[in-house]
Amino acid sequence: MKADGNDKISLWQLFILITIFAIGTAVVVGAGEEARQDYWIAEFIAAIVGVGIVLGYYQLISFAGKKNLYEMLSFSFGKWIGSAIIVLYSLYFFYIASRNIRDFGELMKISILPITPLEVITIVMMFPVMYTVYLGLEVLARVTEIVSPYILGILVLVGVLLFFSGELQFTHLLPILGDGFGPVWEAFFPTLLTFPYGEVIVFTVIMTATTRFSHVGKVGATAIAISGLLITYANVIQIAALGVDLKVRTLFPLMTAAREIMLMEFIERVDILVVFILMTGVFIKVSVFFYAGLKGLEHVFSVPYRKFILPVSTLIPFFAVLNSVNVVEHFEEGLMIVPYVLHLPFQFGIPLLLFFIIWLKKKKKKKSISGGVAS
Amino acid sequence: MVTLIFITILSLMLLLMGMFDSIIYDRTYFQSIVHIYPFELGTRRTIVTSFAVIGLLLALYIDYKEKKQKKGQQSTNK
Repeated sequence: MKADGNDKISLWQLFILITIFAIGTAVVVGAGEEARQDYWIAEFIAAIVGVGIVLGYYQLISFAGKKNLYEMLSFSFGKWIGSAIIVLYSLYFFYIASRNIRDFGELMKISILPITPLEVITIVMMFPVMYTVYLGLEVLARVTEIVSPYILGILVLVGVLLFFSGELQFTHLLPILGDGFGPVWEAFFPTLLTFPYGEVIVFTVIMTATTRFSHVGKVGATAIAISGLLITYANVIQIAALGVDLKVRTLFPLMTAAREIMLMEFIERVDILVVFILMTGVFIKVSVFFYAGLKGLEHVFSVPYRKFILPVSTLIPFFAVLNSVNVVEHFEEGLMIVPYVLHLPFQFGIPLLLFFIIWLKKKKKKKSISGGVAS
Repeated sequence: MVTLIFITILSLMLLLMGMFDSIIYDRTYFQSIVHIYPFELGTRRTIVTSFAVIGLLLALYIDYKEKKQKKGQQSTNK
């Protein structure tokens, strides 16, 4: 297949990309210790807010005249400051990609490859990402179309199998809001708000590449609503199967829950299916982030991204490993520091500022036109 | 240009990770930057380091090839 630079995707492909992107690592990685048995409520609220976030990003692009994130930054901040912020966004996307690769590496080490070094897992994972991104956005979207039924099917299947194994005890979900709304809010802000829903900021680079832009808002909102429901479902089955104490102590609760499945003394060790979800989810998430980061560099340096894809992709595993000494530090950094230092400014701060600047520029332009007409 | 992009990303990412380490370990920023990469031959980190070095060499090769191509084009235009 030849990389021809055709980076247009259909609405359906965008829908699938956003859905799988949001589900990606969020269903597998454990978070939200604060909310305990009410974690699923926090996740549900985050999903509703997530729909608002994706609609907000769509409104921003429409308001700016169908410009993508990088074009908006150049337009609003000028060439030099705009370029500096674009490089920072690329850096942000690469950083998240390296974090996702690390998530994947840690899960593989725990589940199926205990002797293989993390370094080798991360490097090997980067090869398909590199190849897919080299072939372009359309190929990435088509790959997502192929794997999405498996991801969604497995996710639903794990819950059904847990139910028939008799492992689901819904009393674990009680008492609902026993400690009030405070713990739910603590889990929601900023962790669940920014991960995975705020990460949809990366689609402000991609949304303009769809064939029918006018429907992107509805499509994005539906995708986030569906993925939000699935993430909530995954959390309900994790809490019901494991109980709160075990759930908050486990790094990958869905996998631990899947290990409990034993049906007819025949269907067991289904945790490999959860590994499949994370593997494909991480592959798609990393590809999207990596593509968006490369597009940013392409915009700034005016060099086609395929030219520097090989060298830059060697840096992702390097930083995935250098990121933290061990898995505990990796999760602490991701849940305690990154949301405040990176997620909030890049997902909400800068887009809000962009909205304000574009509004000011438009107002100024309108004034000058009406002034010109009057004189 | 490709080498410039590579080095820009590498150095900015190192600065970012230094910042995170300084917050987690309550160290000064400079100390974190110094401690961020304890390179020792034979450790597993050598694997990813070698991969990144290959990336740097690739970047240099791509730039060299491009320069050569440009020179070739210029001489044919003359």
